[in-house]
Amino acid sequence: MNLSSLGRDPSLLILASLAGGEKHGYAMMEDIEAMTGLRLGPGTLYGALNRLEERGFIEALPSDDRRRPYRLTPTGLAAFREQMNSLHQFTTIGLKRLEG
Amino acid sequence: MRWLLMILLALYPRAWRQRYEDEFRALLEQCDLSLFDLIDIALGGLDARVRGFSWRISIPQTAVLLTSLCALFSFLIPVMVFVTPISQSEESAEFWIIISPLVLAPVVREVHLRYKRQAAGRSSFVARVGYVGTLALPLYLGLYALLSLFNPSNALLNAVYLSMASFTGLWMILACNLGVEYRLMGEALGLVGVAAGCSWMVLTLSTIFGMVVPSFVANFGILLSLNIFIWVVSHVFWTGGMVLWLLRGRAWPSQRAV
Repeated sequence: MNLSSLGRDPSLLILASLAGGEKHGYAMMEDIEAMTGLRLGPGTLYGALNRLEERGFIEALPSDDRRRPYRLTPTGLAAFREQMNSLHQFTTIGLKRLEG
Repeated sequence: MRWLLMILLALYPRAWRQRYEDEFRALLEQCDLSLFDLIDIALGGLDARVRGFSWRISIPQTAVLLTSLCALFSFLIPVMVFVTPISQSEESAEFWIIISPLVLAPVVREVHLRYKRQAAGRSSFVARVGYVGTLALPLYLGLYALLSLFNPSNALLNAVYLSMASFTGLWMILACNLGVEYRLMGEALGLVGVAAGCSWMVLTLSTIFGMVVPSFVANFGILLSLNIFIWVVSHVFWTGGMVLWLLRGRAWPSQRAV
């Protein structure tokens, strides 16, 4: 999946990663790197996690470990779906224009 | 490496560290950290400070509003000093005595809130320093008023005024930061305000240095004019942020896409 710069927003990448199931920080970094070839720095990752958590898009789950897993909330899932639909619509139109 | 990480983590606001430090450290222990990662961690800390971290902070809206009023006073009062000649007459002292309760009233309220642990007690380092700054400003003004009353030399008055001006620059930076932290100002507006505050502070310090070492500046008048200009710009940005906030209501729309 080769995302454009539009899809390189760390928040969007985290939502995409968590859409595949709950993960802790390191697992998210690995998943995002596997998906996009892009490695998020630790500061960037936690900055974006903080913003997403503040907006209620993700939530931390209780854990005995120091590593806390996160998951999407229903609000986060809806926001991610909306973003993906917008991107899909955009890429569909763009590809049609290229073919036309 | 351990001490370097400690320093880098200290760049993050305390409230952020309380919430994320354990898991952040656990993540860092798992990573092979490169130079890029270290820079990224440092930038993340600065971002958390500039952007403001509002995790579970309960600051009464009135406290923020009163702090904002103090910021406006910090602009209005020096303006009055500029438009009134600095003659150390009794009339000028009386003027300060009349004006000081207007500044002190919100500050007293701030102290009251602080002691009730509703205000600065649970906020970040920047917010706490901002509140202390709010308290220190009237002390400076009081000192200035006292000196005016006892008619000291112009040099002493100028020194107090310039140090007060320098302090106000620092306060401006913190006030803008505070404004962003509690969503009173847009992030871009806050950043411009902080930049203006920084420039203004540098210029004020240059002005003071220029007074001590005249050869430091070829044309002292230009430097002083520039100083005043940036002082006005920084306050206009702060006031602009306040007005926009009042017009738009409490919930400032986010400027970020997600």
